[in-house]
Order: sequence, then structure tokens, then C-alpha cells
Amino acid sequence: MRIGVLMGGRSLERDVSLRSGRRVSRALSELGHEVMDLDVDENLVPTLKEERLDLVYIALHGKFGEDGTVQELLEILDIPYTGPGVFSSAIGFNKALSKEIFQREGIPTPPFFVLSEATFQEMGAVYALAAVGEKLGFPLVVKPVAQGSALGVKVAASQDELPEAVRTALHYDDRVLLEKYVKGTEVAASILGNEELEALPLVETVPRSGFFDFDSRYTPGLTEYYCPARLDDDVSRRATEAALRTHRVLGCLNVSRVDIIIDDAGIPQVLELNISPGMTETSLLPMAAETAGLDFNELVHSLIKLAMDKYA
Amino acid sequence: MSPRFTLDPFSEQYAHRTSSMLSSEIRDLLAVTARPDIISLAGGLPYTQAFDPEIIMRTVRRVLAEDHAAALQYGPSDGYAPLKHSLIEVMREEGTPCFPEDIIITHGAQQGLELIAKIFINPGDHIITEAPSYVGALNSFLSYQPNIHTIPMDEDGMVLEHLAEVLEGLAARGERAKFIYSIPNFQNPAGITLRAERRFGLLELAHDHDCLVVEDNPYGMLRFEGAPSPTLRSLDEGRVIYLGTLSKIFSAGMRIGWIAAPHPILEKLLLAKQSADLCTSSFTQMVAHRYFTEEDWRGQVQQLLEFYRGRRDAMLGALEEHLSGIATWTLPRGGLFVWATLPEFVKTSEMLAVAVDAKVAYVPGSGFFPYEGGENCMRLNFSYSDVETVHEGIKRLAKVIKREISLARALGFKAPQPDEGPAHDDH
Repeated sequence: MRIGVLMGGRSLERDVSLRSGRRVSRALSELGHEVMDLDVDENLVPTLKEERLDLVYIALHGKFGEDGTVQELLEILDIPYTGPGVFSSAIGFNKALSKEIFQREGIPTPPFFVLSEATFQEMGAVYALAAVGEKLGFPLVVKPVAQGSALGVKVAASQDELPEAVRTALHYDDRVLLEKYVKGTEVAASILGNEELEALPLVETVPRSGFFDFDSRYTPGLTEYYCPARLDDDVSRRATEAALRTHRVLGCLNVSRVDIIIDDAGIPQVLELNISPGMTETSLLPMAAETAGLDFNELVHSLIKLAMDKYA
Repeated sequence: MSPRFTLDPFSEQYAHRTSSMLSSEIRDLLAVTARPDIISLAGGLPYTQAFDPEIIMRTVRRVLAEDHAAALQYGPSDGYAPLKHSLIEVMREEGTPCFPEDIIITHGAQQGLELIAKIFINPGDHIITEAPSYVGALNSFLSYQPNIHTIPMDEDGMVLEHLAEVLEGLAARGERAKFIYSIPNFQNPAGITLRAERRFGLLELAHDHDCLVVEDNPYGMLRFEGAPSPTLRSLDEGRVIYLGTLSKIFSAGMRIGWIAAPHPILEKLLLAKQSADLCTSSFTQMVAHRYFTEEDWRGQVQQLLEFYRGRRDAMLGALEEHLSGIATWTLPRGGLFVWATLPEFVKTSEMLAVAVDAKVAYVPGSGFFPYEGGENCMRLNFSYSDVETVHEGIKRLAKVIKREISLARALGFKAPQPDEGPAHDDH
């Protein structure tokens, strides 16, 4: 097949995306496909129209690649692509909307509030932060609503640290999510499939700094990973079920990675769903696949196959 | 027990010094600035487009026609002897007497820094740098695990009272600094020049406390106005290790730098150089030699100065127009960089994400400090973008900064009122 790999672009996760993309591109060549690396820029659509690709592999991370934008464009051009569609992408990239849906569907997720930059700039929302702290309790995790790779995420241990954390988050998006910090075991559940779903073994992440931030994610040695996660069987099963439900509720096809914290009561609290899981050397989906007996090339092969099945 | 995934199976085998070599969020953000639609004031690139390719082709052709075998061969570790004469001529142009036997040629001045770190720094040794300082030097030094003491600068360079304090503090504990590292002319990143009187003062302190001085002088020839101050080396040959480079006046791609040092030190550097890479490229040294003997290199430098001066003026003008009363900045009389300081509550490393989104980039100040500092500062490069682009870049940046200040105010950070901001430094 002639496959274009979309990578890079102008998102803040450009570099991570290039690392994912190059690795995927090499796997595709080794699998015998004709591969074209596409660093996304203003010539993307003309190039896509000219090249007559059989499939596009989306190795983009962050804004425009993961939020439904590029998916919509590929729908318009009738080009098959890997990963979930426009709806799942748009919801998945928006942590606030995702969590609203989790709550409605009865999927446990830590309690939260969302504030926009405008509420601070124009309505004095800074005076509401005390109430946020009282209602949710500390520590609080403060995140940009739409951003990946934990960029702009901070933990506020007390009221004093809240304005700083809010400012950080607002550097990455114009809305900020304030979420109750749940202490527990962090796991990532990777799901493969369209109608029939396969849950890969859970990956447990133990960042040395205590916090799985950007540097912990991409610097080998700063985080320890266990796969399968060191959990009791029924806790592990509950987490996997929660991930499968999340994947279905958001209407995902092909693949997703659901980030979960198992709280002290053993309840899997779903944090978010990623529709374009990282494929770098330190990424969680390839790790889970490897434990399940799929090497990197086999993983890429099944992603391609799932994508084509979706159009069959 | 489930298997622990080890991403790097060799992680237990690396030397301790690799612990200071980390991937970083800022590096990834700056990766985006490679995109052409982003105005990057972040790099430190000379404007090599200013060179006429015909001249370079002519030079290369002559080298290959006359002695291709030598150009393709290993050369002496201390450098290609005829080129040393050209380098000395460059130094004399700045009033620094030097002789061929006083120098070795290195793979850029960066290699010089690495070799100096290698032969002088034991873990825990004390060294002294300006604050802020060149990030490439800091990284070379840090990988040999010293304690770096940083000396703040004012508009005339390193503040000697602080330097004296650090040196005396060390002496009181029976210790001393191995060397003081300074970029005296149009410093990277601050654009500040060490005032002539302070050069004498610095050397006096170094003499009193018996420590060496490393003088890094990549920008000395890029002077837009004013008279040059004497180089530290010209004032005290016996104590100064001088680093020169052709990167800013000819080509950074040729990778040619040099070290002039007292002879015993030169011996050690030569041994270190041999184990590092045997010799600097014969080919590029021969090309550089031809260029400096047969072409009008002085005229070419003048032409670069024209470009850079205009761009510097554009940047200072745009800063004045868009950020007066909001930020302060240095007024470089040469070199490649302006250093801007924002209100204390602004964190430039975090603001970078917003700037990149607004299609403009800079280097956050904290990277130029070995441990901490410079959080509200930024380095702005003016050499690589044309006058219009520099202007547009500062305009975009000002918008980002103003939004940042308004957001900080909305979040209750202590912000100056619009009319009582820090006064612009008009020296």
C-alpha cells in the first residue's frame, strides 16, 4: 500500500510526534509498504490530493492532529486514516467534555471544575478559587483542558499554589481544568479494535519525581514502568472494563489509550482518553503491545489492518 | 512480580556525568520554531547568506587544485601551521599580540571549552562564570561536575565586588576557583561588554587569588560602534586562556576555533585534543587559510556589520515602540543578542508556549544559568532575521507579553500599573 505518515506539524508536541512518526514510518517500510513522511504544513491538502495515498497514518500529537481537525479534512478528501474519527477525537482531546460524558455515563472520574481565561480576565474568577479549593480539597491537579503530553500540568498542594498553577495551564489553552488529586496507582489501558475490542495488558507508571510530567514521560530512566501492572486480578479487571467502556462511550475505532488512577478503594478513576497514543521509544502503547506478544512492527501492522477494516 | 520495563537497558552503566544531560520541555517547544511561519528570535545563527558563494567556490577549488592530497589527509594535532598565521592576524586586528607557537586550532571554540573543562575540572571543583552565561560553556563545564559560582552583571559587565566576595569566601575556606570564565565582548546572552577598567580589576583579583581566566571572544570583531577595549589576554598572557573562533566572521560550518594559552597549559590541551579527535579537519583549515590570505575578509566583516547593525537598530527601535515601560533591555554595541528583562512575576519559560502559538520564539532566560535565575528574562537574537522580520517578531512578542501581564494581574500576581513600570534603561 501507499501510506502517508502525518507527523510534526506546528503543535507544541511536534518533537514527540516526529519521534512517533519516524518510528512508525520505518516499521511500515519494513512491512513492505511504500511510505511517505508528511510533515504537516500549508501544503498538506495539495500533497494529499496529488499523492493518491491508500491510507494515512496519523502520528500527530496535540492540537490539530488529535482534536478532530485533520480527521475532518481526511473525511472530506475521502482518504482512509488510522485511529478514531472526528467525534471521538474532538471529545477525547477536550478533557472537560470527556469528563462530563464520563460522569453522565457513570464512569468514575475525579470531581472537577472548568474555568476559562475570560472568567479570570473579565469576571474576577480569581476570587472563586478559594471556593474551588474548599469544594474539591487539596491537592488539586490543574491542567489545560486541551493539551497532551502533560504539558502545562501542575499539582497545587494548597490555596497559595493555585494561581500559579492556573497561570501555567492557561499558557497551553484558554480553559483550565481543576481536578481533585487522586492518590493511587497510575495505569494506562490500551484498547485495540473496531467492534470486537482487545484490551492490552495495563502499564503501570511510577515516575521517580512522583509526578508523570513531560520530562518524566520522555527521558528514559525518570519513570519506572511495570507491565502488566502490579494489581490484584479483580482490580486489574475492573480497570480494564472501565477502559473498554470509555473507549465505547466515546465511539472510538481502531485504538485508544485510557489513563486511569486506581484509588485506595480499588476503584478505577478515569482521567482521560487519548486517540493518538504515543509511539516513541518511551511510549506506553508499544510497551503494552510487547507484553501481549506484539512487537512494534506487528502493532503497526494491526493498526493498519484495523484502519482498513473500518472502510471495508 | 510483574516485569519491570527498562526503556534504556544500559541505564546502570552510564557515568555519573551523564546525569546532567537531560531532554527538556523547552527543547521540544523550540523544535516547533524550525517551522518557517514562526519568527525565531531564539537561535544564535550568523547570517551566512551574506557570503558570495562564488568566493567560497573559488577558494575551495584552489585548495583542491594545489594540494588535494594534503587537504584529504590527517593534519597535525595543533593545527595547520599556515592557518595559525592568519588567526594571529585576526587577533592582532583586535590588538592582541600572539605567536603561532602560542595557539592550537580546535574544532570550533566549543571544543576549546570542552577541552578546558576536561583538563581542569575535577568533580566538586569551583569555577566562576558571569550570570547569565553561554549555555554551551555551562553544559561543557557541568558535565565535569564542578560547583559553578555565578557573578551578576550590570551594564558594564561582571560586578567585581561580587567576584571579590566569592573569591574571598572560597579563600576563607581554604579553597580557590580553578578559573573565571568570561565573554568580555557583547556577551552571549546578555549583549553586555566588560568595561575596560573592570578588565584590569578582574585580572588583579584573579592574580590575588591565583586563578586562571578563560576569555571567550567570539564576538569581538562584531563591533558596531565605539572603541575596542583591550582583550584580557593582551593584559595578562600568563594567566589568560583565550578562545577565538572563525564562526562569527567567516563560517560556523567550517568549525574552526583556537585556543591561545600559556605553554604548559597548551601542552595538556594538545594531549586532550589528540584523544578527542586527533586533529581538526585539514580540508576546512586549508580553505579558511586561503580565504584569509587571498580574499577580502575585512571587507566581508564590514558587510556583516552593516547587516547586523541595521538589525540591532530595528530590534531596539521595535522594543522601544512596543515594550517601553513594560520591559527593560540591554543596549549591545555589537554581537548578536539583546537580553530583555520582564516584570519579576513573569516566567518566560512558561510563556514560550504562548509565544510559539503566536508564531514568535525566544530563548527563556533560565537556560543561561547553571542552577537558577533569569526566570523573568529572555535572549533575543537580531542577526538572523531581516529588519522587517525583526520588527514583526518584536510586535508579536509584545502582544504575548502584554497578555501575560494582564493574565497575571487577573490572577492576583503583583503587577506594576501601566504608568509606573520599571523605567527603561536609557544609557
